[in-house]
Amino acid sequence: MADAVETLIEELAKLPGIGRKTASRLTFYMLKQPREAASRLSEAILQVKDRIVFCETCANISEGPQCVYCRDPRRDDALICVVEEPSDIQVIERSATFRGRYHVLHGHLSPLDGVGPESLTVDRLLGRIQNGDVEEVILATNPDVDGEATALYLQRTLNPLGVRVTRIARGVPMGGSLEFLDELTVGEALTGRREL
Amino acid sequence: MRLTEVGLDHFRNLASVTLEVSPAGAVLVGSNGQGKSNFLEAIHYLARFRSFRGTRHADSIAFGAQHFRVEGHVVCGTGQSRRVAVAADRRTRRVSLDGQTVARPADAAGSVLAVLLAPTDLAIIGGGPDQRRRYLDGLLTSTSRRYARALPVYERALRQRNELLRNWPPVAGPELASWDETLIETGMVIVLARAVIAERLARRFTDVGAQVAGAVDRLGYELEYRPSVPGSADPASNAESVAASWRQALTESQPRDQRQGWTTVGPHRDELLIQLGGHRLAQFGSQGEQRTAAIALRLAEAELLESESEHVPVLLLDDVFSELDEDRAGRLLKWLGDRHQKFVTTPRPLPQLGNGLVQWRVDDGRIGPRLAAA
Ligand SMILES: [Zn+2]
Repeated sequence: MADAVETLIEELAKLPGIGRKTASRLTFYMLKQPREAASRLSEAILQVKDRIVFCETCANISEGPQCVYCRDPRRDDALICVVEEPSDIQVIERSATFRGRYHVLHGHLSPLDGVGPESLTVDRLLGRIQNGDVEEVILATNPDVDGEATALYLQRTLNPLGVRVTRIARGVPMGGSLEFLDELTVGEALTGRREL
Repeated sequence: MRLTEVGLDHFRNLASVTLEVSPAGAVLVGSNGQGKSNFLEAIHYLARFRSFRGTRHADSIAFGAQHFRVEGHVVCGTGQSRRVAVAADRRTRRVSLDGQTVARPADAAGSVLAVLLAPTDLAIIGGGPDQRRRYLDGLLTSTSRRYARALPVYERALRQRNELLRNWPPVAGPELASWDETLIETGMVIVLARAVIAERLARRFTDVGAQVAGAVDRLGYELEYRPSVPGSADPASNAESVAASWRQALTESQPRDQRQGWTTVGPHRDELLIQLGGHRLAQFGSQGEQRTAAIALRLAEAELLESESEHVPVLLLDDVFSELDEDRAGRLLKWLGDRHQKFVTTPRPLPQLGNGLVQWRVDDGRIGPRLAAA
């Protein structure tokens, strides 16, 4: 096979959820597309890398040092919602039930994957609470084994700081992932959060 | 509950066929490797929608075929009849009830009730405690959705906790305790369900054991749940007090857990004690006693299924008689009577199983024609 084709297949196959078979199908699809389509795709990928950074405050994805939620003056500084991934913020925003700030952990505790609190943005969260006017921290990690352990860990770590710590209600069974829930369920879970 | 017709299509080495089944059942005679057990596997598929061998669905597809299909017509004691089918290709499995594909296999659960007795059951009695835990897990997973959900969650939390203990100490302090709540919450579902089912099995196990053993083992066959978590053996015990003693046990065992590098308390350390006259059969049982106990356990399970569903399950007896001495085999037959529809595999004809049981020959995957009555 031509080297260029083989290279693209190899690169695509490195993406999560894409096997060699799918990678080769995508490659041959791109071969049949006009040059502009390929150019738009590669430009979009480069833009993501060049323009998107992580917010210095909450670690969300951002186009500048501060993300849109940290910049928004109408949001409530007293409330921080902690999520595992930036994509979780989109889900909560769609539910339109939350007007506070966010904090993105970039993962969850998982000893099996070598992920401890030091690999997450826990220290930065502690810093925000110590230096700000935060009154309540809502833990919105996934309602699965690892997300639950992460929430319990944060609760124990945050409690001595005198801040109110709540956990989103489990309107959903264990083993779920926030990403796949509808807005309604997420909205209910946020409204019905409980003290830990 | 009785099957009236069984249809097979590209299942393992069995030739595609539709068989009419008599209310009493059938004896399948053939030498090893001809496909007798595959027929039992097919019927078991109608009850549990997966293989009792623990293999993938694709492994049950006949060589060179793209899919398999098993269909059973079943009539309940009430006279109601249903058509259950399981089909699978290399990607998906479909379960259908009266021609309609069900959204989740659980929706068709219980349409066919079957209990398998197989030579491999001996490992439950003679093997380590993990074998008996796996037996309970299999039984409870297929009968309780709550248990089926809790078990993998418990196992995940346990593996995470053990990984922390293996690399002790962790970077941050309260990390270990973060896993405990899920461990206890899901573990409670497991131990309480095990306590309940063990209690329900125990009396039946003793009864059936006594009848199959006859005068030979006058000392009683006994089954008892011995949970690792203190106080969780009693099905009536209060959930909160069990959780509290569990928390305390985890705290107390922490120095030992750290030293050994894994969690030493919890249902993953439970024992289902199976004894004859106060002696553990796993260590002290003879082959005959262990086989009797294995049969008694499965038949107790069948009685339990019957009492919970009010349907008499179909019995699948995979080469059970050839390993039993004549006396035990005779008493087993007597106990079995004709309450259950039975499918029995055997390398040689079993004339004792006369009453209404047709004998089929299984030869290189072809079932039938009938043997002349022996
Ligand atoms: Zn931000």
